[in-house]
Amino acid sequence: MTKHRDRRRSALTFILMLAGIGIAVRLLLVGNPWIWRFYAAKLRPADIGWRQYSAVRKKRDSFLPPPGKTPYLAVGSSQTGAIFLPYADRHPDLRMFTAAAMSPFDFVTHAQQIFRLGADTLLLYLSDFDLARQPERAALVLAPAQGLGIIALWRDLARAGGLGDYSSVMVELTVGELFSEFKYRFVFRGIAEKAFIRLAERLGPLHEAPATRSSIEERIALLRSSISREGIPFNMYFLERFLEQAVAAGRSVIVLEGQYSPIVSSPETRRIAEDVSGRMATLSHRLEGVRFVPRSEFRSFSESDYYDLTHVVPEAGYAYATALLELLRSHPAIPSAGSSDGSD
Amino acid sequence: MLFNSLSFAAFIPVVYVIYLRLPLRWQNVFLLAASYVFYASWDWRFLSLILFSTAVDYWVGLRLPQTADGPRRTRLLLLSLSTNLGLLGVFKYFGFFAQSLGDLLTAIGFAVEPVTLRIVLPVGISFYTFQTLSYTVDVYRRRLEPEPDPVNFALFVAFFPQLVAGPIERAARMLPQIRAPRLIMRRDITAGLWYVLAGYYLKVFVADNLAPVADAGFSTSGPADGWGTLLGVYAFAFQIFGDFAGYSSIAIGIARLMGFHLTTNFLHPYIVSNPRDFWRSWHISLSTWLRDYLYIPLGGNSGGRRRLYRNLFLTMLLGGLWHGAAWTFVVWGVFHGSLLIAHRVSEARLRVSWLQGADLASKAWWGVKVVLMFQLTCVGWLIFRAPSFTALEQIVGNLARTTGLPTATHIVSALHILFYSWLAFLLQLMVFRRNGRTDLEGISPWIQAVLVAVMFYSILVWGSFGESPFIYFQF
Repeated sequence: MTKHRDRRRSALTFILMLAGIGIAVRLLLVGNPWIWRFYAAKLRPADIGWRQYSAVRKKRDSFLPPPGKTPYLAVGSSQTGAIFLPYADRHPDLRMFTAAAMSPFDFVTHAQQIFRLGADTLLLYLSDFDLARQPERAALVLAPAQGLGIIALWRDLARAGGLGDYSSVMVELTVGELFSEFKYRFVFRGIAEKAFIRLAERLGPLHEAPATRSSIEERIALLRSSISREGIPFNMYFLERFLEQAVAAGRSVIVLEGQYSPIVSSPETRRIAEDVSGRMATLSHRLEGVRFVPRSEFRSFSESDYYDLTHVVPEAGYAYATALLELLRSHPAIPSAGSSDGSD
Repeated sequence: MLFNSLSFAAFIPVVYVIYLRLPLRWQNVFLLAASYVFYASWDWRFLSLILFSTAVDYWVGLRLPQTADGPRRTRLLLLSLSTNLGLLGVFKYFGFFAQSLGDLLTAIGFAVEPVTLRIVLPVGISFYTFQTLSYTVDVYRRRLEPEPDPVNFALFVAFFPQLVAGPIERAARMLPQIRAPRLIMRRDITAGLWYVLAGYYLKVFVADNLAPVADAGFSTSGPADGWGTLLGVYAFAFQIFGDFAGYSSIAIGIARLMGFHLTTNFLHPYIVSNPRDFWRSWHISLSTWLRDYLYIPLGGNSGGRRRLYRNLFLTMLLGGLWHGAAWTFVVWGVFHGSLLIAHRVSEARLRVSWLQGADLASKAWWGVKVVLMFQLTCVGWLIFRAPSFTALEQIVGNLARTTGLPTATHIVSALHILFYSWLAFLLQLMVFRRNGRTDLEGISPWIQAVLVAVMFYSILVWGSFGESPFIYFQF
């Protein structure tokens, strides 16, 4: 009897202790704003990767009170960042929500964070570069906590036909819902690696392998090969889901037809771009509060506007954003979601 | 279906829940079906081999007690031996021996084209053939009653937790557990969960994170890097321990959750002071198998020192060959055989009597021997891990050219090894201090909680989830 009682007491101590450690670890490593300020200050993209760096900053910002209302919010990948950041840095009427390799799946998983920024109109800069490429798994798993929304995400993934390719992403996201330490493990790995390197560097310089840079032709070939029709249905499904969510949340959306450096274009990529453009136009016609702006109706970038194959130089981005915002201010043709007289 | 795969993560809860709800008879039928599904997930064609081996040994087992001593009885045993060793010979060693014979004939002036067949090595064949062989031999020796129930026997051969990488179970231990109703007590659940956690820790935290350091150390491309090679050997020592002991621990844990008690396969192989103790701590189910079915039948330690040395040598040579069809494994076996012989010789002739009774000095001497034995084990891993003799020569050459102080890059690698292996070493120390106890019973609940939390978070945060296969699958 005493032995039985001792065993029960030991089991209880074990469970309480384990729960205590779990709570302490959660609070200490991921559950307080100061630690995220520390991570954001200590880690650099070179330590953990660009997209991971964006995730750390977004997590840090999630502890801040929501900002006041703003007319416009540009949402998208680093390509969107390159275009709109020079303008947003100087003008308060445009904010940014960008992350490296952000795809429509990420729009859906980040929807609540995006809507929280209080913009009336969302600006999406999208092309076949975003909609005809397979999303990067390493990026998708960095989605913020979804809560019960994870169930809807599983359902959406099944409907988009992505269960085969992306079920491992969803498993990671689901585990990350329960254990945010798992989701943000790249942070701890990054911190530990930095500590190891700092310790070792006291003894001498690290012998880094020289970075191999591929030729421009190789990069063009790689980019062309990554653009294929196969990726379109998956991305379009999640773009549609996001647009529906945005409209339901009372946001207007302007979908700008994007592009990349003209030297990448080939007959095949042009055909795919036309296909993507047509689908975006159809989608915007179907959804009230969403307007699609083809390149032909606004402006295109030339080869000299690009500093690499996909990102424009700050001057070109600033000029584009300035012209766009002026156009939007002078022609408020975008009806707010839910208004009954919305037409082009 | 690897233990560290998503498909297994889906497979095991379904199997477990159904298993718990079935009566004994159906539990065994269900486990057998699940085991065949598990095995077929690699390649359904492999099922025919395991079914064939099972059928032959089941039939031989039933016939043996009905057959009087004499040539008929021997022929039955030979049928089982030739079936199992024949399967191993064809599927594992045919290409190796054909190539070696071809090379030998070419070397002595007869240029021949060796016969090569494209044969895929069926996963786990070395494990289950040894397991079923031991059954027939035990029945032949009249140490075991044959199993009349084909389902029970087939489950003994194919029980999925230990089917593809051991522990190699004995029929005398497993069959009674398969026949009897299994009581799953609370301590089975806690012990089972602990073994599963420890196993995953060893695999995804220790082994898979050390793999890149080991791979870099054993790489033969690029400039010679003596320090890098040395660190690679140490990393591999913990990688292979984590990988194999991890698999065994997961197997033991899953079986325990189902009410089965499997053989302990690893104790504290890097905290031993001599090669004999190493083999009492490393892959115990194989070393005891080799002892009972090879070393003792060869004469064991009876018949004089020369015979003893010969038996040790042959046993370890064949033990090396069991690991893989390559000459490096043979040499590794010979190396360990030589270590065992050297240890026997030193035990007999070089008694360090001045240390007897001096407690501190004897402990210090023991510590020196442990460090020395670890270094010798690492020499063995160097041979074991080298992909070929040519590569081995180059790797040893790299080691010989180790000059100057290590660079910062080497220090980072060394820190990785320390970071990923410190707890694996402490776990061995814990088992050593507790006289071979591998569970957590009797340890303060505070320490248990800290240990479990550290391992759990290490897996969660630092685990490598790339579904990398277990090293011993190739054997």
